[in-house]
This record gives sequence, C-alpha cells and structure tokens, in this order.
Amino acid sequence: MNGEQVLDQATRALRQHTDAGWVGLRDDVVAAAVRAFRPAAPVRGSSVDGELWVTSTVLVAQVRAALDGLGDAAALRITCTTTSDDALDRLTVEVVALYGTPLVPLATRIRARAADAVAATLGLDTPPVALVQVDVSVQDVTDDPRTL
Amino acid sequence: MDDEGAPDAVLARRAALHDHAAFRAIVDRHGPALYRYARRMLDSPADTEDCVQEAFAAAWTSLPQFEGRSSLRTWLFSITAHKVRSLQRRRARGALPLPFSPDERVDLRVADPQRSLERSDLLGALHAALRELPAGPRSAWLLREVEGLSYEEIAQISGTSASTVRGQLHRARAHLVKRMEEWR
Repeated sequence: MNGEQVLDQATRALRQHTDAGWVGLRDDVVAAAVRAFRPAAPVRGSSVDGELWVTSTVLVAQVRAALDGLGDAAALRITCTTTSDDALDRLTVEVVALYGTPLVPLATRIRARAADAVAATLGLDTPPVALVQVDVSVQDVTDDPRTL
Repeated sequence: MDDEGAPDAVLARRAALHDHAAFRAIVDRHGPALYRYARRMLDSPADTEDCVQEAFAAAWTSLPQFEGRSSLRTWLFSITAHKVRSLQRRRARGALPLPFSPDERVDLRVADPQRSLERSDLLGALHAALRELPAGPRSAWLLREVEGLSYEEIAQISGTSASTVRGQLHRARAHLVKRMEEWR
C-alpha cells in the first residue's frame, strides 16, 4: 500500500471510531446541559399556601407535553406574554398540521389541551380558557407524519 | 414518534420546547462525532470534555433561537469549533501542549486482537500526523474527510471562505499522505 491508501484506510477507521472518553461523558453532558439557564420570564400562579411562581420555560414545557401525541399536529413554537404584574396574559401556540386535518376542530382541541396544562401548572381551579387567551396559529402543513 | 428515528429538525424543535428526551437523542446522535473532532483538535482529554460539555450546554441554551438556516449538525459543529478555538487561545497563553495519548485501548476480548492492535496503531499514526498540522488545515481535514461536511459548511463553521478551505485541505492531505507513507 502507498501513503494515500494507508491514509484512506486510517480515515475509514477514524470515521468508525468512538472515543472511550465520549462513552464515559455522555450522561454527564445531558445532565449538565439541561441545567444550563435559558432566559425566562416569571409567571404568577396561585396556591392555597401562598404565591406560586413558575418560569415561562416551565409553562412552555408543560403545554408542549400536553400537545404531544395530538397525532395530527405538533407544536412549532409556544410563547407566552404576561401582564405588568406577571399574570399570564396570552399564550400563542404555533403548530404544523398533518395535511387534510380539519383545522377549526384541531384549534379547539389545542386550545383545550393548552388551557388544561396552564391551569394545572399555575394552580388554577378551572382551565383558564375564558381568562387567558390561547391563540393557535397553523404555520405549516405536512404530509409526512415523521415531521410531527 | 420515538425520538430515536426522528429527523434532526424535529428533535431541534422539540428540544427548543424543553423536551429533555429530544435533547438526549440529539446528544446521542451527534455527541460521538463532536467529541471525535474536539479530541483531535485539543491537547488533553480533560479539555475535550470541557469543550463538549460547554458546547452542548450552549446548544441547549440557544436551541429556542435555532432557526434551521443550517443543518443541526453544522450548527453543533459551529458551536464546538468556537469552543475549541476559545480553549486553544486559553491554552496558548498557558502550559506547553501535551503529547497525544489515544483514549482507546486494545480490547483483548475482541475476536481478532491482532487486527484490533493494527487498527489502534493505524489510528495512533494518524493522530500523530494530525497533531503536526496547524489548527486550520487540521480542522478542515477532519470536518471534510471524517465528518463528511461540504466545503461551504466547513467555511461557515470556520468563519472563512470555501476557497481557503480548499487550500487547507490540499495542504493537510499532502502532509498526511507523506507521514502515512513514512509510517508504512
């Protein structure tokens, strides 16, 4: 073999190589990364024992989890705005929908699920559909369920 | 859908919405390549660990702003390459570089220990030859030949032009062929 052939062989070996250092590090990487701070606003909830505050990222995560498994749509972005005293004012859910899905019933389901998740997260007695505006925006449609 | 088979864009979107399982799938899919790249750009395993940890923490923090203008893979390599350059600058002001000590050991339980030993020798020779290269050509060669990125993606990651990348690859390949010829 000449130098080029040896280099090609070594390159192929390196492509298939996983460093032992990575195997030991992998779990730590995930745990450390998700502890990293994401900028977030405080959102005021209520609790029988006193005030309850959650961050907007927690609220977004709870609403996203509630929308998992819709089957015919998936969340693209979820944003919330708060009033001057940090009460939730408006939740916006942007989604991608499966092609052919009737959009008005879909929006109704998304609003109900999102409102339930907000109520559970902020300690509200009833889903705040009437109290909090949940806007649903269908940003895209797809015929590939893998992209949901 | 399970995260394991989901496209990168879907995982990035979910992780941006605070889905830990999706982020774990991203780490599992791209972590080995990012570590492989960082390990060959940095002097020590400890620096490599710091670099990859910091890169994924930065990715987690920035995913809500990731707009998909580049692929997730290119974006992750951009973050990692930036961390590599920061560590190299810090180390350049400090101690002398350490000799490369490959992390892998020959596993005598494998079916063909002789072949494993040869493979380890081959990789060791490549590592030694790579370390003689300046950071730019070394990075370009690793990203192109090992990780399969395009000239344009490498230019974006390195903050340079595709023609510069082409020159760096030519230089790197000439050096590596010569060294591997000598090793043979």
